[in-house]
Amino acid sequence: MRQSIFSYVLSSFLIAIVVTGKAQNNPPDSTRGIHLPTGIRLGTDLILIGTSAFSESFSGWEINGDVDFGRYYLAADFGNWEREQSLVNGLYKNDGRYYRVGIDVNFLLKDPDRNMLFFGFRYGHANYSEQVTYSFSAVDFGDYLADESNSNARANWGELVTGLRVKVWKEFWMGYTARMKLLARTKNNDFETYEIPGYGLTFKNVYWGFNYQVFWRIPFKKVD
Amino acid sequence: MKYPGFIIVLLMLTNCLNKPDCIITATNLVKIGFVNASNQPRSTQVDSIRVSGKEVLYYKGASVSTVNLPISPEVAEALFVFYYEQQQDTVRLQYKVEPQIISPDCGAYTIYKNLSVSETSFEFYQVVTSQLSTNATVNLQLRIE
Repeated sequence: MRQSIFSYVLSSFLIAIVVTGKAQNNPPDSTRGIHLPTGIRLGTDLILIGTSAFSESFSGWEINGDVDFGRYYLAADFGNWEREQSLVNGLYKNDGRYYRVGIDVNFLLKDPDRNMLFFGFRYGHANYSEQVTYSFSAVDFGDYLADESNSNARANWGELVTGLRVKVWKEFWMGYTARMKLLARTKNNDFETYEIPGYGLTFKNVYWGFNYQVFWRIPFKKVD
Repeated sequence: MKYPGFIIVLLMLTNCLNKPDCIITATNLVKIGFVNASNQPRSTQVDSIRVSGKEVLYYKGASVSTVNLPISPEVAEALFVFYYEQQQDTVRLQYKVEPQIISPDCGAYTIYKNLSVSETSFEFYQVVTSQLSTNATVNLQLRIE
């Protein structure tokens, strides 16, 4: 899975380099620069929905949206994340909501349908609680059952993103977003967070994410 | 950006190196070393050591330069009373107890950190390592003249 995400990201980068190189030789066109928005695209991540349907330990959903300003897109996501994970000596739970905001830059400047091959960045933020119940032993003090929680924890992180958006039919779009998540920071913790909703496991300095998304675009005005 | 592919490969490799393992070094034993005025290990004739929360006496009649004393996970404070070489001294420690989760297969364990001395009758002391670990050489040094 990780290898395929990596292949996607790498190939997208390579395509973008070629596209950018070619685009730089072209004369200026109407997609360059910042323009008034022509529509909003709203969608959801099918992978999260699928994972929730088939996993006993995870439940989550995510709403994705973007608004075009010429070749630049203001993108925002909002998600819900719950996990109940059995541990070899206990149980870990988390429950939280997260959002991401950022900018995407479209490198397909000449496409009449305004399909996208984009690169961008996100700022991510999560509010969550987590709880761990586990058994342990302390030398000379015996066995214990601990029940600890982080009730008002917060976290933020950054993301470098790349992906595709393709117009499939009328205003129906599909696409993917590959995410390289990094620089996660947590606050208000009584213990070190294990997993941040929307980010993933905290012991990884760089965490890869992948969304396969469907969108419906609501136009404000007709695209030129 | 001149070498985007190279940078991504580098980041991927960094990611692969960050896998958790199940080697747990956390312990509730405080490693205390006795040192002389030159900060060298000092063998000390211990009559006994009393540990708060425990009835038994530790290191009765032992000649040692380091001792491992247990602290309770239920409270954030421990008191050690040292009876040695016709003297009696005390050390009161404060610490933080918290869980750490490694992975579903490795589970969760308890760490003891932020160790500090809140009160002592020893003239000189030094907290060397504030997190308790089986790897730590010594957590606390106590100077005996």
